[in-house]
Amino acid sequence: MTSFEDFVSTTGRRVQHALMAALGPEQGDDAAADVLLYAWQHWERVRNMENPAGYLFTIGRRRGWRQRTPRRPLAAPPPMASPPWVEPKLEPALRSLSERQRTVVMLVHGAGWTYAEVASLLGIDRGTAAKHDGRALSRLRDALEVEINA
Amino acid sequence: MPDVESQLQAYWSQIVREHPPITAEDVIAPPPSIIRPDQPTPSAAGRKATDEAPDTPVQTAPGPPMRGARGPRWARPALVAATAVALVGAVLVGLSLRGAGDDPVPAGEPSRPADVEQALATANALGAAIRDHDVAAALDLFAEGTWVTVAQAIQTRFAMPLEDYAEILVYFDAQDALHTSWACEPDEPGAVEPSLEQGVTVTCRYETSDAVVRAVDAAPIPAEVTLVVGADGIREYDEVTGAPTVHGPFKEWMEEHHRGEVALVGVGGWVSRDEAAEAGRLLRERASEWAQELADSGCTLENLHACDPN
Repeated sequence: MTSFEDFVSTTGRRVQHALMAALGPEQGDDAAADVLLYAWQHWERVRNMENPAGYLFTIGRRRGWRQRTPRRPLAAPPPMASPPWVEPKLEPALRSLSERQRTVVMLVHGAGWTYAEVASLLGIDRGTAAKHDGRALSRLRDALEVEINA
Repeated sequence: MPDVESQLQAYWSQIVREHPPITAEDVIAPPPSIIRPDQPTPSAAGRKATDEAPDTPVQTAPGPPMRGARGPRWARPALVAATAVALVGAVLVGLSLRGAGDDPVPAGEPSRPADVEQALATANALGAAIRDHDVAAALDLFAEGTWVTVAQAIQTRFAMPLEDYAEILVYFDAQDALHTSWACEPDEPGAVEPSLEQGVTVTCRYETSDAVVRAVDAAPIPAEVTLVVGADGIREYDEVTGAPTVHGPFKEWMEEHHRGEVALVGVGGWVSRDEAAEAGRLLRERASEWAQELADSGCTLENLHACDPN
């Protein structure tokens, strides 16, 4: 039987990633902390679910939306030898996507999830996930190229 | 410039670096007094004081403080709710026990025990209140501190406090939702006769439709509610509604065409009481616009996934 500690380190991490992808890093991180506490408080039920990640993600989205906490600016990152360069317009471009498009494109291309994994989390078909991804990439390309060429 | 995919990887690595994994120790910190009997016993190492519930009787332990956002933010309200439920429950159960002998089932009356009849009456009163959008009447039927569980699929269940459920009912009113065919049955009696003291389980079925469903002439959505009715009111409310065949596509259309209104309209979520009237008006307007666009593009609910009006 899965222990709660194991659950948090595996499924919990996936839920944290998914909520950060959907809601933004700060709000998603807070929502993940909330839903994992919820999972602990309802552990007997959660541990027996077929898809606890999808369940907690759904609750987290709702809680994140309900809290409506203002976006906090990104904290200064800890020192890193050679931080990767990120196009400054990427974050606003991501925010311009629909939540579902943003979730899919971030999890697939950022976190390395498969379409099947994303589809399972979101409760959608694999093909639908791919469709969201394609649209999101297209919009991101347009947004970044427009900004650069302007 | 680098391709979008590599930019996403770089951005993601930055996010992950700034947000380390949440650990079980971050999570497990409820004060012992609110741990329910069916919960596992948390490890002693996981219990820590929090900065959000300083006046709760938490067990403190050496170690680094929790990050502010990761305290057990439910601890204080949960403790208050648990205490209130315990007190109210004790009083009402006491009253129930004291009055149990005052109102016996009349001799010769067939059928159900009085407690089951009362549970059914409570369930039907809830149905009437929901149908009439009478939020106050509906809430009066619940035991204090009840959490409402609502689901649109077996694996996606939302547990919410009563005040959030009240907001849903207000929103139902604002969007002129229709709730029809409410019909309840008690659970089959088991070895022990059902009693309000222990809680009588009643299952009710009904159908619901809102502006979106009606705009595209979709079938009403079936719903099933399981209630546990006690002497102090409805103690458990667990609702499972039919698959959201209409609201999902509508929300996606809203995100494509009216992204700034999605949160206000509340599709797939709910809205605050202050926003309910405006949200309901806007939902009806956008539902009508969506239905018109579907009709103009030749898309139907049946071929929606294969049909791209864009």
